[in-house]
Amino acid sequence: MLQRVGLKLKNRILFRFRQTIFNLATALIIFNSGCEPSDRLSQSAPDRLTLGAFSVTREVFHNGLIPAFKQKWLVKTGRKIEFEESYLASGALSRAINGGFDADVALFSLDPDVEALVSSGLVDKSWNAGQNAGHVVRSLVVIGHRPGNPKQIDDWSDLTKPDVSVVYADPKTSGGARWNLLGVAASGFWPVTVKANPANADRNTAAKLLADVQQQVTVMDSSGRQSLATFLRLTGDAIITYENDPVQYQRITGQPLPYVIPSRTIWIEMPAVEIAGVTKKNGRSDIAKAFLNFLESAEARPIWSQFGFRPIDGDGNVEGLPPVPAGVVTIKEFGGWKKAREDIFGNDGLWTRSFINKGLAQSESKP
Amino acid sequence: MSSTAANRPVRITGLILRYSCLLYIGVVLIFPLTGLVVKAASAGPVRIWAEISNPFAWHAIWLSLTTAVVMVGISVVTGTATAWVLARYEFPGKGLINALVDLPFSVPTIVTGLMLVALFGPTSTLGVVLSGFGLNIIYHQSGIVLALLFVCFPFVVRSVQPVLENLDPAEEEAAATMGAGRWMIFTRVILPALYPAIISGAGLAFSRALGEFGSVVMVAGNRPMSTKTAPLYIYGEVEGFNIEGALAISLVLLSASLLSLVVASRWARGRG
Repeated sequence: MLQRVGLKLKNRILFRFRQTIFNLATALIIFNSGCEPSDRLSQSAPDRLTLGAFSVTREVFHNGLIPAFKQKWLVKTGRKIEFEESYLASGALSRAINGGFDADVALFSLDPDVEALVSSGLVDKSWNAGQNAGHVVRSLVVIGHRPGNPKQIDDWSDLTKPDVSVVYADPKTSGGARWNLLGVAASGFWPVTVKANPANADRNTAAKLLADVQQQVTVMDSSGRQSLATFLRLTGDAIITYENDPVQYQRITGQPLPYVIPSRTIWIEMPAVEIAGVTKKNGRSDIAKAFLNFLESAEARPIWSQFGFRPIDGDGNVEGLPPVPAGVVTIKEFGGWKKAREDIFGNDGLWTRSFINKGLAQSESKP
Repeated sequence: MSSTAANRPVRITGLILRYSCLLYIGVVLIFPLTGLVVKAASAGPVRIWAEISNPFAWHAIWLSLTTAVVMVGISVVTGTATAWVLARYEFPGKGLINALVDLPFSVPTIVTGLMLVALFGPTSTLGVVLSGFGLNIIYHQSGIVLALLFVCFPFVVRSVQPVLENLDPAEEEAAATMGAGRWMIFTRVILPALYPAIISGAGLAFSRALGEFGSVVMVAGNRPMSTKTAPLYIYGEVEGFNIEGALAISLVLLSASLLSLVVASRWARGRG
């Protein structure tokens, strides 16, 4: 009896909790997208597309890609198109779409966020069947440093020097930080042999570099944005981040934020998908596909690169950005996301173990 | 008592007051806390133990407990001294100082953290000078203690001050006429009267410190096995979808806090 009451209580609490979260999420989305009443039935009304994208792409979409696509759409079809835009952290965006946010097209920072939508049936199973495996654009994990490079930071090994302090976000709370640490680990996963078999990876090299860099870390903020804010408050000599972050920062503020591309690093590949579960209902599938094609097109390329993003195909070299080094791996060398998560950040992962190996030292790890 | 007992209307209002108060406590306090415990317990004891015995979780809990203990140790001395000064001395600006004591309650804790970073951070003037002496505060464990000291400052002061103000001066005068020195009067006459208040203030400060998030997240640096306290760990587990882990560690914090409050109130009553 008591148990049943307890269970009922539990379910009610859970239900209330879910409802509150849902209401909050809905409020946020409405607030962000400035919901306008849609009147698709009227012929004279412009076409519409709802875009959900992860936070750091706000500027490139709002100020670059969307105006260009509007122009293109007008020339091609003679019709106007209106966008509703909503920018959230990648994981939160995925959860919002699963919870009923009706985005037609969405851009995420990592594949698992799309896979969550595949398993709920909102995204087609074949989303990654194309030539670029569903990715439309990419960036590199780089090291940002102070103007004039006073600590002479050129590669990962420079981050292990005793007088260098490093900042990056906590991979527990930040998907971006997971990419960043995979960039550090790339040194052990770069050989061509790994491509054939991930078991050939030089795990010791990766583990040592992860541990030695971690040793120099001062602050681990909960998101990449906060980490950048900490670095801009002049804490730390180096920040591990996405290449588009410093490029965008310099473009928007005009302040210098120099960076180097380490000799071995990883491609951050960002998937964009049509939310078929939504477009089937509102009949926007053709527009969604056209927009997705545009994102990968040659026309979109210079717009992406102005904001620090690199094209998904070819060697990734693009005008205005430094050359791509030879030793760049992808998530494939790690055996895919699921395996990478387990191998690097799991309970027995390389990064996790670097703390255990140090022992339960009560002393502080900072020099 | 017997006169009111005979008076029926008063009794009914008394009953209504009593039960609506209990209902209120139930809805506001017991209901959510039970929800937490039920949800955590549904994971099963094996899972809960696995989550707690994880070295990262264990270190976080240990760090929260030790920094809270250090903070309480300092707070008891400084808080009693502050209460003493406010109760026993007259000086210009006393009213203002008295009001200032409560301010840590009204400053959002994240602002407290931000302020401490700006003041003592590695790039601030003070921070540079201090690190010249080998004193690194922000992004180190001492920074956590500093943040807790600020956030929990009012507890001991506010529980000791009223007791000091209501202390009967006759006892001290009697002791003085019998030849006791000032130190003896303080340790033998005043301090025993203050113990219950000091202990209950310390208990409140301790349990408040265990759960402190906003200020600590700014000053700690959040490094696993080094400066990641239990609330920061819980936040990480929630964001990483490990709800069981978050609930298990919350359960530990909740028990430690409850234990400290019960022990403090028992001890205080025994002393008083």
